[in-house]
Amino acid sequence: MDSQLKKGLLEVCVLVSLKKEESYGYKIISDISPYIEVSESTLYPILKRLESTGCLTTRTKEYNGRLRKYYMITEAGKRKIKESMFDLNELRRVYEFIYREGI
Amino acid sequence: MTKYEWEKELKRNIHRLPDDEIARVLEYYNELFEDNIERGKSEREIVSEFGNPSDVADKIMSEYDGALKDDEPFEAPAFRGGDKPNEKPSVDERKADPVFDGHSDNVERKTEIVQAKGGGTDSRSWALVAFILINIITGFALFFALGAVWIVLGSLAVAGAASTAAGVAAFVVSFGPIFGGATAAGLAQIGVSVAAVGIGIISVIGAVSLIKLYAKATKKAFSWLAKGVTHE
Repeated sequence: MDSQLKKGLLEVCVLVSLKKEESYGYKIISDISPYIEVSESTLYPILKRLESTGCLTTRTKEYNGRLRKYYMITEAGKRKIKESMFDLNELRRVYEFIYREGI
Repeated sequence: MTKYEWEKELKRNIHRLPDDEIARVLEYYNELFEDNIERGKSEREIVSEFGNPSDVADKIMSEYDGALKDDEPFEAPAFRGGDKPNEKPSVDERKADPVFDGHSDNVERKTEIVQAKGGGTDSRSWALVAFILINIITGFALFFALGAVWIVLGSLAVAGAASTAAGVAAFVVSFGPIFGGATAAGLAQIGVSVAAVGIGIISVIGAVSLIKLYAKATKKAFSWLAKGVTHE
């Protein structure tokens, strides 16, 4: 898949996985990997960028005698999901066109 | 590959990142590692899933858009008590050790980073100290040798000047005996004094030209050495 498109889709997938409740690295990967190919090393920059653009915040919590970083979605993150749904609608029309005429 | 080896290779390739960013990367992978271990995966399996550490590092470096540290050579962390990397206890052994929970591992890793930065008292630092000492000693010897040549040339020039002056003085004084009656002795003295002036002038000119030549050569040698240092 085109890497820019994939990055954008991954960002939204991560945000969607946080919508219900806060999550952590391992859980995010297992939640979204059935839908989109994601590895530990691709997730790291995605999380970093989402945090720096204010779409998520983090906190460190103790779990099982060690520290774990939890990611939480912000209002800006929720807005970003809505915006990307708008973009995806357009993408769906393109998708349908390509499949209808291209085959 | 063990987790320790993986992490070491990763650290080697991201050492130009700021320290807090390196700590952040290591915490991220450490947490994922622990979560995978708790779900029953083996150390080797997890590490191979993480991927080649230098590829992971490349990805991190290419995504990073902040300022990088100077490109100084990476110094391997000092090993405690002569531990070799492959003698590092495996994770299962570490799990059995009650002190070795995730938290203490965290602290330990941070001290490792600090040691890597400070250089510690590992063999590399000693080699550096020895290198500097040898440089100072040989440098002094070279300095003295160069200095000795300067002194020899300098004294030659001074001696020449003195000989010239003495010759002139003797020439003047030798008129005394000539007019006093001892003409032969006076004439001999004039001859000697003229010779002294000649030798003096020749040695001054010779010494000065030698000094000029030597100064040129020294300047060339130093600029060549300086070039060598900056190229390193």
